Amino acid sequence: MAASRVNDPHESPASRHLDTAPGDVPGQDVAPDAAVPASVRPSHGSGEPVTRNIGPFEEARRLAGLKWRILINTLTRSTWILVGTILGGLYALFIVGMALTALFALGSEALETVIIASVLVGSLLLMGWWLVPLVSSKADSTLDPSRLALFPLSTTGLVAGQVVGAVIGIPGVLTVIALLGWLFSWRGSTTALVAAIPCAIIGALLAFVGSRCVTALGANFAKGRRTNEIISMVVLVLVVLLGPLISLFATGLGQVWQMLPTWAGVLAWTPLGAIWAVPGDVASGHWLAALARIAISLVTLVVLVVATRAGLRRALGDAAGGAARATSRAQEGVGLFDRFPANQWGAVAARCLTYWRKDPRYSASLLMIPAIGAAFWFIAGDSGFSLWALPLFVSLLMAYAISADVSYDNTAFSLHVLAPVSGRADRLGRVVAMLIVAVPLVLLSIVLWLVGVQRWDALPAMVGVCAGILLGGAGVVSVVSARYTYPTPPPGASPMKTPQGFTILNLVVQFVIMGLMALLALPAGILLIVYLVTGAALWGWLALVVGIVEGLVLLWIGVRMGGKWLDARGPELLQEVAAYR
Amino acid sequence: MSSPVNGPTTPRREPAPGAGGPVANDPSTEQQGTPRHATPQYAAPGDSAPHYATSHRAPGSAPQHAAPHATAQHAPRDAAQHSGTGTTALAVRDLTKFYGQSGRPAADHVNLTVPRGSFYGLVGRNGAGKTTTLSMATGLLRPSAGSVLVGGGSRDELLDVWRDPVTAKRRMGVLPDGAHLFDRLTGRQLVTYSGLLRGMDRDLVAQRTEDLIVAMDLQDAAGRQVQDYSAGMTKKIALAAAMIHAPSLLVLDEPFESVDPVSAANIRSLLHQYTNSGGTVVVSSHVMDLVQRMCDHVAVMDQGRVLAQGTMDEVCAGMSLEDRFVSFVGGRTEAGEGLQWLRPE
Repeated sequence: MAASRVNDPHESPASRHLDTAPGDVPGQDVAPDAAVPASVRPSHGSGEPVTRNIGPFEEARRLAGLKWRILINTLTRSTWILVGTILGGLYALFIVGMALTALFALGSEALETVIIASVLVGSLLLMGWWLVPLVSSKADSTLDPSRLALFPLSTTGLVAGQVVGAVIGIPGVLTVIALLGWLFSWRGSTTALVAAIPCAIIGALLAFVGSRCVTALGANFAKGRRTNEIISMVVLVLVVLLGPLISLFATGLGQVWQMLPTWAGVLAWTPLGAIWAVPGDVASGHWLAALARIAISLVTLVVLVVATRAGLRRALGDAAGGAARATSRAQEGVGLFDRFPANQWGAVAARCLTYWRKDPRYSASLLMIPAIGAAFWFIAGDSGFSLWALPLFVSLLMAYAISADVSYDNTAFSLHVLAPVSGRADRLGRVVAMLIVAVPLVLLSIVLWLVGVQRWDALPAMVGVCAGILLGGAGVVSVVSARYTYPTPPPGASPMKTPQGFTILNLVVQFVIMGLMALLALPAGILLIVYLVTGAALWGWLALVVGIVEGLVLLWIGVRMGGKWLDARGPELLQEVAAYR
Repeated sequence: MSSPVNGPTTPRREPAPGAGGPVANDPSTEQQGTPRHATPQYAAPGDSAPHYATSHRAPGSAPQHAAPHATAQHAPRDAAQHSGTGTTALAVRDLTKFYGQSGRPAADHVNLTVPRGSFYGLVGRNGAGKTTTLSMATGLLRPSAGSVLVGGGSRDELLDVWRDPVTAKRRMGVLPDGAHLFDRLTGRQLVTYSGLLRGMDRDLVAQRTEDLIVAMDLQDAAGRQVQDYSAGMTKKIALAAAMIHAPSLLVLDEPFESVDPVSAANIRSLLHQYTNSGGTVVVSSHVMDLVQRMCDHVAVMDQGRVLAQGTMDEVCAGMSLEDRFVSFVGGRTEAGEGLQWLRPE
């Protein structure tokens, strides 16, 4: 029986399955050991190849199908993820609805206005698609090339699959809807409406391909050791560019309104805005301009495709690169572990501080600080109001930073459960490490504030409020993060990677926690305001004392309460964070 | 399973002549404040004998079986086994774990009794419940039902891992399977961290860290970050981190996966030394040959249940462990039958 199957390789798979009906024990005569089935013994017969090239289109279709399948599975994995996604989708739908209404209303305006609005909004859309994966670390990792490296896929098919895959998901669907609405804004001229249809397609392609291009190039960067510097440079440059823009807004909305046509005129000749101006050119008969703008867009598209392909190819060739690399320099001794007390909280603090320095997931969050500082500095203008908020904001962000600690640990947290580290030592160690990083940064932001507003007299009150937020906030986070965790990139992953299952619900909870932290620092904050109003030095010093004392008390309570919770729920917390990939 | 007194694989657990059976570490009778030996309690083979000589407790005050929590209906073999073999290092009682609301438990009334000083193998197919059981036994995963008792030195009472986790976990060294390490630390830092977390003295940590690094043959890599290690090196450094506090029980989940043969042999001999001096090792594996060569006790798990446990000789009953395992677990004949198409074209 088995032998006959081997000799007849052209037999269809279906009939082979029929051969192995229950009761038919194959290999009884030929192979006494069923663990070595007849089929895997070396056979020199040449059967028809079962694998074949399926062509880039079919590859793209299957990859998009994979993306769809993963999306559905992620959504159905947990009710909360589903709820969070639906809420996020509804919110986005609301915004798109507003945009659609606006676009429709735009249709009845003069052609000039339509062109300006179309170019500005379109440029913003493209900018969003291109920059969001880079800056907000929300890159879509579902069709990560390194996971597909083992499959015989053509680069073209991969690019196409990723681009089609970009449509699947809330941002993609909403973009398509918005583009459909955009078509209607040209209803004043039939030729423009007709011309808008290919333009919308090119625009969508620019958005999706550009997004994938940035992700592919970003993934290559993220593997390098110098990722942080590169990301920080990009962020800083962006902020610096953003600064003058915002200060322009600050000088008065009316002036900005006047500037809009000029901006639109410039943007319409850049890759960002060119395609959105084409229907207007067509409607007003500027055929040469229309052709030139289409050329700009198409060239951009080609460049993006080429860059994406190059990026993907490098990523595919380097898929296992991260594992085999051994580039870190050897380090003598045990580093920070010698500088902290030889007890549990000292060890935890030393370990966390090492991570603040060496783990890009931590340093990436640190990068936000100079960016925020620069932004607030630029916004400040003459009144310097935003500078007042800067030290407070830095304190808040730094205190909040440890909320991701256990999620960052992932299953490495099992060492804490096994040791077992007392909950209090765990909380305290993490807070101490954070404070060592945070205090200089907060002081620096206070110096910036002093330079900006020249209010030496308000220094005690300001220090008090910052201490209240930093210490009290650390206490709040110590409690909350013992109970509530949110998905973060796992150890070793790029900080730009989006963890599965992070939804708007997590974001809402984050804002609630931050709000609570700010609320608890209110006493010192009110005293600061009272001081500024009355000018009596007593209030300033009172704010200092209240801020520090209240912060320390909250921290003490937080470490104790959080520690108690951690002691009770350590294993559950471990299981929770182990699920974050 | 009857008492394996003269089994060739377990010479070190023969009771001292005239001991007449071990004294129980019964929590109800032993005093918390009993003075402990300053000298290594495990130094001599047949470790129970010197212990009795210096016991401050009246020898007759304890019942003559060692596992007070052993319930006859679930673990009928336990009592018999205990009467011949010293105290218990790890006693798993009716451990059950349901994940979510799914019907079949990942571990279903698992009962294991690991005698002190034994090299205990836990074998089973993928998904048999080995890792779930060991996670529950080491305090990483809260069981749906059941209890885990861990013994310490020869005179320590058994402690419930889930009732008194702090003390119980101190007795254990655990290598979890597939867990991340704090891999931005260097190998030396990781082992040091593991020691400091256990409240050990800094100098002691430093000294033992160097010893372990030499034992694991990681001198060259000790100063590099663990994330740059190969899979085998990572296993070795994790093993070192699990051993630094000299636990009385080592629970190792798949310790030899992707470890090279030389290192594996070194680790094996290191573990044998450790059991010879009274330590207890529990390893899970699905490599039968390895377990048969290495372990003196074995338990076979399948589908969340323990199918057999005892000394290697008892479980194997004259066959090789692999054949015996297949006869327990079954399912062999179907292997590969559905894969008629799997051959090079």
